[in-house]
Amino acid sequence: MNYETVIGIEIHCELKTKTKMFSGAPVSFGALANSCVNEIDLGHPGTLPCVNKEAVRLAIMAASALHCEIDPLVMFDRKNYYYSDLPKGFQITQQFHPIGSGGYVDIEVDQLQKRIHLERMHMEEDTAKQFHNEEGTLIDFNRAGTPLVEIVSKADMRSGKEAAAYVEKLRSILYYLGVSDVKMEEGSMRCDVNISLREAGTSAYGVKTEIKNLNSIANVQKAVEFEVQRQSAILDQGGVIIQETRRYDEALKETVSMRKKEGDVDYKYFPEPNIPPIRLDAAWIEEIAANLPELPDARKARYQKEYALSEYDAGVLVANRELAQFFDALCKYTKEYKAAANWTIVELNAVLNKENKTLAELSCEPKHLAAMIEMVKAGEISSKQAKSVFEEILRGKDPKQVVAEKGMKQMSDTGALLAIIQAVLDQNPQSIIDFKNGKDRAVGFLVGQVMKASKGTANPALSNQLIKQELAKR
Amino acid sequence: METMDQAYFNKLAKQLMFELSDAEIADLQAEFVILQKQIALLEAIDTDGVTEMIYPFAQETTFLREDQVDHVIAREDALSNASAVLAGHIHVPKVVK
Repeated sequence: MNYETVIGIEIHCELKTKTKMFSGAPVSFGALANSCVNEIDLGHPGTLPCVNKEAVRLAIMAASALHCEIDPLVMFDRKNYYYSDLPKGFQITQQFHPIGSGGYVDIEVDQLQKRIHLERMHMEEDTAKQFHNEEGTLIDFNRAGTPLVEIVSKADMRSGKEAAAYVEKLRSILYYLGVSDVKMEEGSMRCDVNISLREAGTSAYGVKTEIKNLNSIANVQKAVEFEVQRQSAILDQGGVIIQETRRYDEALKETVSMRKKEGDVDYKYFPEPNIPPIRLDAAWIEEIAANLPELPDARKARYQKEYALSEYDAGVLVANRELAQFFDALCKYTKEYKAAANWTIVELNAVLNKENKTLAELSCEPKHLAAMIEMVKAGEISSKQAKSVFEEILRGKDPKQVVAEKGMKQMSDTGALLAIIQAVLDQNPQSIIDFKNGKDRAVGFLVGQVMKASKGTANPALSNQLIKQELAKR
Repeated sequence: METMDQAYFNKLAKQLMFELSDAEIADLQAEFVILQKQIALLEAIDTDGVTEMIYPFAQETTFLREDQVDHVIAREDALSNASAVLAGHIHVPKVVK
């Protein structure tokens, strides 16, 4: 049978604040277990939650960027359940009055644009982190109370590719906003995917399964694709899909059942009586929305329009905010935008990947790289020399100083070059014959010989021109 | 409404993964009978037209806390109420959701 895949995604994203959602204890990743908590995070009787202004600001930024309608009246509710990661016995969330309603994210898959609508975005607190071992469960309350936003999409996605594109786009937007670290591998962004199948052309939803805690965008796509195959096979054999929670097993490359879901859990939601409704200043909301940082789509369009970069180059730069920021800084010092993009995307990116470093860990100054690009353009150094200058720039050195110290100035003196060229031509008579017989490749070979003879200092463009001139005379 | 019979309590005990004796079930049933009578008294109150009260003062506030670390307790204090501690973590029996 022909099935249509229906996918909705819930994303939990930790907000980048200094303190917890409802307490003044610090937020930290990787700190000593249970060292970043206070009585509120531990749910001690008599403690009262107090809403973090910065968490609300970041949530408004995210909601604005995702085109949500923002509710100026902040209200919280209790989600009641009993589990060892939740010391109060309830999670403070926004069930009835999410800070953001509606909204959308535009994605592109196989050159086709698609709008994924959002149901809601609400603020809540994270739970404690648990580690299960043979003897029992170890609990670290450092994560308890960390501010989160949960972004719930409508069931608009129809394939693993679309699901991955949605998560990638959302991750990119939140990253550019600076509201979250969005590190899926560290759990600061967590993704739950709901998948069901239905007969193509019908509108009723099939029974869905939920895949929890996918730790990479690649795994979102793989998990969805596996789950679609699994559900299709069951339905084709006349079976029924069981409503359950599953996880993606990376080693097996398949989804594995975690637990059955017997209907929806009743969390007995009710308004949080310890946090009275908080009316946000309309001017504050407007100010936040009006001052959002440039988002990835806008930046990509700017690179294509202002710097005439290809869609591919602009996309590669935008995919890495650090690189994009460096490129922007670079373009303040040079108008050689294409060269600037190439050096950033290819050479600089390769160093970062190879050495597993961030740009902050390198001493590469945009003005130094720009100066080197200008030197190549002016013919002062060759592209080959530039690569060795670049290595010194990475150590914080000024390219002009490097060139002076190493005597790397490109040879552009016609007289000196002609002397080398004549010698090279005399040593390679076969190349002259080849050229006369129409083999243009001979010129490239001769340029290489001139570069070799000049120890890489000859200006290649000028050498090429002079070689052709001298060949014509012979 | 669930019937508070023995099977119901056995089902709850199984879901919550703890043992429940017949005597304990009988005690719980007796307690629930009292509870249901109390709820019946509450349900008999006419609340038509009465607005529910959630907050002690029915007015909006504007206060939001600045994002500054203002209070963190010592690790030993955080762990002092735990019945078992292992490697700085609170150690509890394993219950996987």
